[in-house]
Amino acid sequence: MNRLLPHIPLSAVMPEREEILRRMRYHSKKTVLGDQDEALLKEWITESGAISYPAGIYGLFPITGRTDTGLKIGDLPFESASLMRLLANSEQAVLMAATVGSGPADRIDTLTRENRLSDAVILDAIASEMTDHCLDHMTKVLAREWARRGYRPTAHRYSPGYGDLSITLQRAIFDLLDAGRLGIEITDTCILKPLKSVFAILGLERNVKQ
Amino acid sequence: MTYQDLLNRVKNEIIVLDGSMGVWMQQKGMPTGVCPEAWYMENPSLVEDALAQYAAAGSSVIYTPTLGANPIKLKEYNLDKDTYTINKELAALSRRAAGGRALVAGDISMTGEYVEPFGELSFEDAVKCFQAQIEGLTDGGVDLLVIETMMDIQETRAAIIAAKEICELPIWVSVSFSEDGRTLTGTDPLTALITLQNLGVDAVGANCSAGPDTMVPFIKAMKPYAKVPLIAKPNAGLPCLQDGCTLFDMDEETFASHCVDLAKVGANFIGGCCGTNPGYIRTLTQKLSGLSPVPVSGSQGCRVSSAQSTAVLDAAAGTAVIGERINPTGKKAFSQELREGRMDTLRQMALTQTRDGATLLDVNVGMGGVDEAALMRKAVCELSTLTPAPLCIDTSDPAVAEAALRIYPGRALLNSISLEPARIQEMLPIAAKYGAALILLPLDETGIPETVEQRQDLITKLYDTVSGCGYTKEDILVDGLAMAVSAEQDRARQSLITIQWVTETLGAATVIGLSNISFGLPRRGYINAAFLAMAIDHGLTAAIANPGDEMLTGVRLASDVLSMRDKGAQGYVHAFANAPAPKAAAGKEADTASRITDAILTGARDAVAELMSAALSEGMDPRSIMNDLLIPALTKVGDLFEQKVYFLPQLIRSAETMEAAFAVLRPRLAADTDETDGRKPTVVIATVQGDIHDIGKNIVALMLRNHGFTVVDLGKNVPAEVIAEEAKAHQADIVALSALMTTTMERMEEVIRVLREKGLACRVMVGGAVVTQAYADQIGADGYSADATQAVKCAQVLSN
Repeated sequence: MNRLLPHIPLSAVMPEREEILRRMRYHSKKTVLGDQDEALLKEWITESGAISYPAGIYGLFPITGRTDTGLKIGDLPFESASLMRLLANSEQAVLMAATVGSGPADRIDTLTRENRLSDAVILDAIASEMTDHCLDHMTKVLAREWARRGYRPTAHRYSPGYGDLSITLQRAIFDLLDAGRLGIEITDTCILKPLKSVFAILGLERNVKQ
Repeated sequence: MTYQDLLNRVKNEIIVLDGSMGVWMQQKGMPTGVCPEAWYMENPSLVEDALAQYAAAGSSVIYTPTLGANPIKLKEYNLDKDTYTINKELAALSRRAAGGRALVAGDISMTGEYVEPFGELSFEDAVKCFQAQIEGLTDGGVDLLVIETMMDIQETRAAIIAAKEICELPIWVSVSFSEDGRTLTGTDPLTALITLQNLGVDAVGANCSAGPDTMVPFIKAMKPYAKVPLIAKPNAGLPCLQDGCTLFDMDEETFASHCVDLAKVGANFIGGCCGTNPGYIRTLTQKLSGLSPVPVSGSQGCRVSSAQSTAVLDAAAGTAVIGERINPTGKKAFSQELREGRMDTLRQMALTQTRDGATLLDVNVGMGGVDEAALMRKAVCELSTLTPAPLCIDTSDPAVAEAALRIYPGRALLNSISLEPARIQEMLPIAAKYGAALILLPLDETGIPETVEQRQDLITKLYDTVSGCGYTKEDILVDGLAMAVSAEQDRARQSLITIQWVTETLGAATVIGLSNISFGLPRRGYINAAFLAMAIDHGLTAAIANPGDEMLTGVRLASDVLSMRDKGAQGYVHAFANAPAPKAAAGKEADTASRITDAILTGARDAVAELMSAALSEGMDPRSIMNDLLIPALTKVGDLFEQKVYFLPQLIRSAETMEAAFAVLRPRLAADTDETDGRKPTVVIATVQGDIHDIGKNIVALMLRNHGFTVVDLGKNVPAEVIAEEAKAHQADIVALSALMTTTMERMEEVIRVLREKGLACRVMVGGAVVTQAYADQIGADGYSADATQAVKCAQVLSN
């Protein structure tokens, strides 16, 4: 059964300042931020919180087959050697979808139209990081739910479109998770709308004592 | 043994609880995947024997094996219709096993679903679900209820309220914290304690999570503020797979030794959770025997909580600010938004005030023509997942107060209760039921008191009344009743004397609605700030004010230093040591040329147009401004970006500033242009069809415009045919294409093909997250760039 987290607390997904800066070509030892930069950052962190609605959904699916080049999750083939390696010790695959809603993407469009691209870039970085933190939060929830049973999530996760994991898999994940419940749509080219939405795959493996 | 017998023992000894049931029964043969409670019903003698073993091992309280016997969990096995029977029979079985040696606690736990405002399960459905289970447990004869392994404070509240509404049994609660010391919805141990003990539970604590050593800090954090005994029921370490079996890595002796540490930091009831069995409990009983418990302190201070944090209202810790802005009075646009059920401005107000240092947020949605209770409930749900600042529910309507307090996943402050009969008779029981802290407003049906003595009399009567409902001085703030000095000037003095009297004589916290004092006067900020300083000097605990008001914040922090609240001026120094200094009066003005260069370097996009006009009116040559000031400054910005001294927003803001400057210069430059200047290279830029990511493309377009290119931006999701037609129409020198996804970058190749088919000689450059030089080469692109600065260089090469 898929688990829906329709209202993830903002404090659970609000990124650290350094995490936001890293998305904007910031170098901790070289980059010098002025008062104006700090004030804008502070302002946009507040504003992005006000316009974001963090939410997520995840589900566990059996790994039903393995080959050298990929694996089968439920009835669906996932051709990806890197995913196969990640889930080598996993008994189940975990599919996740996360979004912060359409607020940030809409505001980025508005800012761009108003020739305020520098503000748009800051908001884009915060919203992207928040979306990733939704996945982190769900991974934490999953870890808590399964720890007592002697399981743990894999240390990493993959998202379609990265490495050898085809972006077209987003459609299968969308259907399996019924991600429309989060207000997410998927285009013909497998792009998720609103833009600050992301899918990911990880595994659930036994916590083995050596 | 009775519950009272147990309470008598708590003062002198550590009470031992039982250990695991589910994990132990799995080790005894319960198959995985079955409904545990159904299996217990099918194997009653095994379960009864297990519980009896715990009682024999020293457990003074054994838990019924009903952890998952709520209708939502049982529905997973199609057994929800048997909820009552399962709970009643397993409770009766537990009583037989206890045999009078131990009390029986009816065990309740999570449904597996998140409750609103965090999840989809409605609060009332959660309450009903738990009540169905509790009815079976009470009829089965349990001595108390224990709500355990809870990972969400709101679901915990639903279970407590469910119990309190249908029975009078003692209620214990233990929460499961992650190693980071928080539940899944972000509640820390102290916050859980404040919320739960004020809801009227009889013991609070932690269970499951990890081993007893990990649990020590959780109990330690609760103990100084616990008015009830504390429970600790840890796992036997961490679970792991060994030789095909799930085991916990801590042996009996180690487990029991760590549990001694739990007793030393204040746990009064100690048992085991996953991985423990009667052997662990026997060893635990031996280890804890003779240990004296840390007494229950009985003092939590004046504390309120949200789902994620606790706030203390204590003058000695600094003057608190209760953010006043969430109030539609006098705010037309905000009122309209609320009427339409929209929460955009409310969210912004909440986060801005939290950022500006509000200790609590006052929430008032009172206005005519709306269902205020429904609106308040919606606002409270919205705020509960948004801000960690606890809420102050501001209403005089009991129905509104109940709507807010029932759903709020923390301990709220209720603003306010007065002696007006209708108000106190209905409001007080509601506040008491949900454990809200109270603001006492010294008013009665005759109106505002005329003298200080009348105020004191009303406050005394109010306090006596609320004391009758279990309230203590720690649970209240007395309103100093700030009134407009423009009407009666002596009112300020009356408020100050009242604050001092409450502080020194009654020994309670105080609060004022600060801005009332200045009503009707000009420059109200001065009056407010002066009154705040004076009130702090008289002992004020909290002010309802705007935390974003710089003057008030400065005066408050300074007053805290001068009144010795801010020890070592640490708060003051922290607030101001690194703050930008106020702008000093300008010395010798830099010349216009330097200011133009600085404007580009610092990205002063809003000031540059004025500077350009000034430069032109001073007679500076527009071409010279462009070539000698703007372009060198922008080049320097590019260099600083490449050296990573600037980060991306700085680069873009400088580019925006350049564009704003150029907009002023453009008409003059056009007038001065002669034919020898030649045509500027034209770039047609687009995100390809199927792709809707365009922020990178927009940055490239801006940078190209900055560097003298004519840019025709076609936007995103643009078909190849359209790009080709536009390239032809604008006689493009370059077509720049962007794509972010592997599925859409293939469209770049199509664009190149269409351009060539139409015989267009323009050069093509490509970029985007997944695009590489190799891919650019493969599809026959003329250029590739990884970022905006490279894109400019690429375009310069291609256009030469």
